[in-house]
Amino acid sequence: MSNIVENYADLLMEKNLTEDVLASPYKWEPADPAAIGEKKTLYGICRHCMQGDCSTLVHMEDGIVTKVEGNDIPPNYGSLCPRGNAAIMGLYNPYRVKTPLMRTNPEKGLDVDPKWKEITWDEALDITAKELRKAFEYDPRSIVVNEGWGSKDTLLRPAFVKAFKTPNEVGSHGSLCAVHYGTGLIHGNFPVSLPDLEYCNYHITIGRSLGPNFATAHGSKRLAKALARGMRLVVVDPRCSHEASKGEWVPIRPGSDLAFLLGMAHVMFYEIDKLDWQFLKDRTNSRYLITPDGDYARDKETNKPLVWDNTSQKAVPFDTKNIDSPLEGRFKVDGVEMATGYTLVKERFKEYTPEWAEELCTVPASTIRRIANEFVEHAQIGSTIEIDGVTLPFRPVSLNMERNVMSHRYGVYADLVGKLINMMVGAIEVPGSCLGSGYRGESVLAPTEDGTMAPGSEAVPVPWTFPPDHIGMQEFFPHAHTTPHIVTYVVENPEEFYLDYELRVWLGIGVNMIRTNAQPERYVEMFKKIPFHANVVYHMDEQAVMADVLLPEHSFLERLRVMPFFPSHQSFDNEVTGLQMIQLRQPVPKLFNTMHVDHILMELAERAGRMYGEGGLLDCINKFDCHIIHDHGMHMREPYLLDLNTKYTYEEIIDRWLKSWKFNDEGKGFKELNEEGAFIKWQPRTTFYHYYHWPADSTKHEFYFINLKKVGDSLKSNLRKHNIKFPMIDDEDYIFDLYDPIPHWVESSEWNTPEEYDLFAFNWKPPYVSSDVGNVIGNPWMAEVYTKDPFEGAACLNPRTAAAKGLKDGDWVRISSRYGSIECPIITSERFHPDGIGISGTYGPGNVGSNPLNTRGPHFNRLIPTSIETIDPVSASQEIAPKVKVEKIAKRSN
Amino acid sequence: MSTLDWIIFIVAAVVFVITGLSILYNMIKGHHKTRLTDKFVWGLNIQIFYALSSFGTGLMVVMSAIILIVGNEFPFKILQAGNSIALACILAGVIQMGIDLGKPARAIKVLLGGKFNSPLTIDFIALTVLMILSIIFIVGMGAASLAAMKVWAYLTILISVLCMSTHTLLVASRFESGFRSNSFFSAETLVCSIWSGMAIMILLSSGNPLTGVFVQLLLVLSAAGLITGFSSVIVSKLGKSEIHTHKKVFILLSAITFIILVIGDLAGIKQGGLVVLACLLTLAAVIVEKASSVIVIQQRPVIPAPFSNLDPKERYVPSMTEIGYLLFSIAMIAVIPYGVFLIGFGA
Amino acid sequence: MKFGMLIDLRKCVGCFACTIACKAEKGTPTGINYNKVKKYEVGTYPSVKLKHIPMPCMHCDNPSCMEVCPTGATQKHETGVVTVDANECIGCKACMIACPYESRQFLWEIKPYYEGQERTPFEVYKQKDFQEGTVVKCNGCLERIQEGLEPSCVQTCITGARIFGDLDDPNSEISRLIASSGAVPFQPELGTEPSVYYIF
Repeated sequence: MSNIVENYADLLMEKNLTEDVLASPYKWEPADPAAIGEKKTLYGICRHCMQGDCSTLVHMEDGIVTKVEGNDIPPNYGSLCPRGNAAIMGLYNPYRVKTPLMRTNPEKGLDVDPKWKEITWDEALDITAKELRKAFEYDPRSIVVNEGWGSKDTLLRPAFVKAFKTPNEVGSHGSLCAVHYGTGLIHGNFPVSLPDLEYCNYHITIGRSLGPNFATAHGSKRLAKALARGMRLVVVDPRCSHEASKGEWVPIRPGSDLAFLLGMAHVMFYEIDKLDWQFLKDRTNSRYLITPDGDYARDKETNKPLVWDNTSQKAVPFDTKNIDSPLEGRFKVDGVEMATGYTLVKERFKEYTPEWAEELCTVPASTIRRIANEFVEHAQIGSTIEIDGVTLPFRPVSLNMERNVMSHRYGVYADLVGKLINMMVGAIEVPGSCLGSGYRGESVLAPTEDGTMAPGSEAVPVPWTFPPDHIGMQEFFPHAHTTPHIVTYVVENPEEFYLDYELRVWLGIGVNMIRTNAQPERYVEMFKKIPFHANVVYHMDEQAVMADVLLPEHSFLERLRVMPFFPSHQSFDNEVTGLQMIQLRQPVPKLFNTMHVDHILMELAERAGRMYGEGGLLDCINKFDCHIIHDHGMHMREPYLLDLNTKYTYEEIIDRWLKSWKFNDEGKGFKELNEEGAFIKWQPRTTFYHYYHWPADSTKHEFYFINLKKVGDSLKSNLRKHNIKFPMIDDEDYIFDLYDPIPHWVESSEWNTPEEYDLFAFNWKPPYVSSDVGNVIGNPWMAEVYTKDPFEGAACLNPRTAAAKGLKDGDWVRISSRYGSIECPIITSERFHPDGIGISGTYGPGNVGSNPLNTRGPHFNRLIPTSIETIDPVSASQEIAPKVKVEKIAKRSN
Repeated sequence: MSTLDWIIFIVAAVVFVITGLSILYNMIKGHHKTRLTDKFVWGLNIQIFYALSSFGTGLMVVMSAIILIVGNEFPFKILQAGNSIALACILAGVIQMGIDLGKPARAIKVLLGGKFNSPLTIDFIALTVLMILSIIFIVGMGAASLAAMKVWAYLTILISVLCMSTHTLLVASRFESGFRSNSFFSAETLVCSIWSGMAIMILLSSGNPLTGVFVQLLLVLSAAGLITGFSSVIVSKLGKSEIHTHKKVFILLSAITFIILVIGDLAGIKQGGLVVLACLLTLAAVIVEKASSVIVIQQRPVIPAPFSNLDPKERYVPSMTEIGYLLFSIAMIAVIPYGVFLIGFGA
Repeated sequence: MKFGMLIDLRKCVGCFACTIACKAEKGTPTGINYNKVKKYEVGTYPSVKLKHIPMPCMHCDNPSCMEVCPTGATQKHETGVVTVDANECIGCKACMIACPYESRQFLWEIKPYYEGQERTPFEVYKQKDFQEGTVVKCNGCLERIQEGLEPSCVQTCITGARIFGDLDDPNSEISRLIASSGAVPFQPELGTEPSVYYIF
């Protein structure tokens, strides 16, 4: 329960209610008269989508921002999506929080007026810092830093979290998009795996956006070029989307993608002779012998994994030279029968025939066969390509998937089956194939003593502690991406989760879990329990009205930003392959009494006593290593390290980071960056393909996923050691069934429902809004366009399905899953699978004081569950295709 | 003027003043009080223009024909009444077009623009000339010679028919080759105008020896109306277009009118209730046809299927503001003729 | 220099960047968007596709709108761009009846972008030349092309579906592409001779 109102009653008494700053209509102040007659252009970086890296130019006249357009430099080369063009309305947004606020109403709710009072920045920062200091002194773990897509422009947040020594950085954005395990395990990288569209000739994309579905600027350009070059595109989707309309659409029952993938893999295992045997033998652990316990058979002296040698007819360490080592087979080693990894995997897939798959996913068996055959054919197994004088294997095919495939209980298994499919044709980390996004360098595929590459990123488990340190229970979900949904259960019932501390301070930064996660009422209840909740906010949204103190930050146009280029989420081609770049956003003058988020963090750190000295913010900045691009990003080194007891300005920190940048040979700093607009350093394209660093058999990828098994075994033994059960789960097999080294069919939580739940609800992000970064839904220019789209704000049904239910276009319905319900009109279209009901977008519940545009539309996420029985126990991803029932209700206006 | 006349006049005058003030108010405040949209840019205002200018130009043609055929022998009072009503209709129509402009104060630019092949310019000029002719008749024709009246009649016929043709010209661009055309639109316009003019003249001249001839001409014209309506339905079917409800109503009304007039002709009826009914049905048919045609040509998507299949289906419903304009026009049709007679030009 | 645009519908993904870039460039009032994108579907399940056709003003060589304009407010500039002079327009809307491409809109009212709020400083600055009661439409970014830039809609296109160039120059990129792809204007049978070509 929040204590804020009592604790600060005296302060609040003397303040006035905020009629002016939250007044509607808001009276705009005239522009700075000194700027009249002035015309200038600033360098910019857009921030209206998850990617957030399009280079822009921001034009100002007479002190007004008049145009944002693409800058003709990488990565977007002058183009800009609709959201980027609409950024001006994100700046001139009267629903922004314009000055620090504190609540005076102890009651909290989405429709409850907090009765905000205006406080000064000093007061807001002092109060927040005081609460942070108290919490830190009690137990650093009692501090939660909650971040979302609105916080991606901060340089200092990760260091800030480290300075407060809390493990509890709770991300809102990940549990509905936990798509990272496979990339971490097979590619050693983060966040996702992408096709190389420069050379790819056959690309299968499932449950993601290559560019057009989200209208991401540079992703869409690369796809357009690949299609013009003749690349075949296969899109497996319950909806014929923008991307599916550019290639072959394979309709699939929502939530059944694992069956399709298993069927396709079966065809490749059993019906196609020509797989990349060389790759499987040399570059995977397929030949490694597996004991009946499921572990590697190991040499007694060297402890190296064993393989069978036909020549000497015995098991030998894997790196023995001049052996004839088979891929398949069962062999007796010291009297114990063992099989190769490949044999075990292949056998498991025997039952997953395309006919079996067709029953579950409705994709015809003949289509599954055809696609598998075309995939293998186009892989050109055995071929090579010369790039910049270096010969590399050439496998111009890739199968990629993301959240709509992996957001089910079987998510990680689906990811891994996709990896098996790519590996069977050798389409891993070579030109034209599937590449891990993220860091480019030698360390990524570097082998361990077992000969296989070390898992990276989220395939590295979070170490076990008991009682658990993490409020998100990463100890029980060691490979989880983010677990905000679990946090709601922990706060509700800490004993069930063995938590030995209290949650004291919740600091939100650019985050809104009430809208963007599921079962919003759970988050509302959770926030009511939190003693102190401060939010760094942009506009008055759902999470803002649940806070005690609001620390308003700049809109992105006003936010100084210097950032390294991160490889994209959609694809690669020569427009970005080898690109190392520092981008700059020069801020426009601020409109309101807001602060830069990094300045807020620096102030909080200083006022809470966590800035200076060892372990303080400056020390953590010195030690900061970006978890995605490591030393290619901002990475302090001598002689630019910060002195731990000096006060630096933000620009000084940036300057030192720039000078430390690995690719900055000329020692350029902040001043030069402002003159040039960007630092662009192209690296040799050959080094972009990780095969280059570790060719032939110098490293191996897992085909038999032993690391998954290891983590599962370790978790199980930890439960035994402490004699505890897995929280909120009675039968622990339900968890450990998903830690098998061989992926297999597992039913999602929605597979067996009562009969009246007869359709799968599914969701996508439309190009107008993408993932709604920066409240694009509330942007009036975008609203003008999306409100005219008949597929927005409506539930989409196949005409036959609608007719069978007696529904026609424009009828209003209530759509209910077992977890929540929504109401909206329907529209019928041939572009939708008969078993699905599709709802677009990022609509939400809305709240008191919000932009009216944020209160309309069906809130799809209400239909999604949060409970542990429904999630993938490995990645903690939430179920995205709940089963629903549909009932007609009285018509109303939208 | 009888007591009834006075009552009608005073009520009409009051309505005229009130709605007139509201028109001025709306012209100053702006166009957003209407429920016009980018799809239906011409609404009730233009519908009224089409209907009333049909009446007005039709009446003027009928008057001119009477002058040429019968000359001075026809009672001047009836001609003046017809002329005043025609003037009221045309003036109301012109005002409707004026207030439909986004910038009514700039209307004079139409003459200064010099774009003489623009249908609007033609319309503007023709209507202005027609109103001048009508005013000349009001003030000057009482004492004119037959020759002068005949010259007036020649000019009036030409300008009236030109006005009728602008009904088609204004929307001509909506008629392209192939299925979107309606070959009988012009024929309908001509027939409806003269037919309605004849109906009004019959109502004004009841008791006059020539009324019988007028009634027989009304029969011929109602046949023409029926046939053109019927033909345009055939054309729609040939062109695979939708047959609109208003067309069916128009054909029904024309048919009933024709049948009533045939019965009356067989029975030798030249005046009385049946004739009045036939005239009122005529006016109703013309209003339905002319007013609906304005909306119907805008209803069809400009961009053909399949590109327009996902466009929202809009309907046009007039706002209170536009209904106020309608009342203004109706009031004017009473005020001007009574006004002319009160001032003394009736005799 | 004769204004010409080529839109490759095989590349268009219906993102509406062109519509919004135009809005930002011109500061068009609420409800006014010079560029439209029509969405349509072809086929029946499962052989179905979603398609888009973006439509700026076609800047016809034989414009229906100019013929019916009574005051001469609609003119054809020497670059081929068809413009509307807001000071001459009387708002008769005959051009909107005449245009077969829905290129024109009537400015009923200048309303704030944020409904129920006041106009933002951007609107106050950019909308000075708009007059309620006149007809407005795309002017081919005439100010930009006179400076040698591309229209905003062309520059912003995320798939590079739009090309801008000089139709008078047979060697320009656009002329060569129109010829090699056999691109045609939309609804050419109407005879208005548009300057915007499409690869369908």
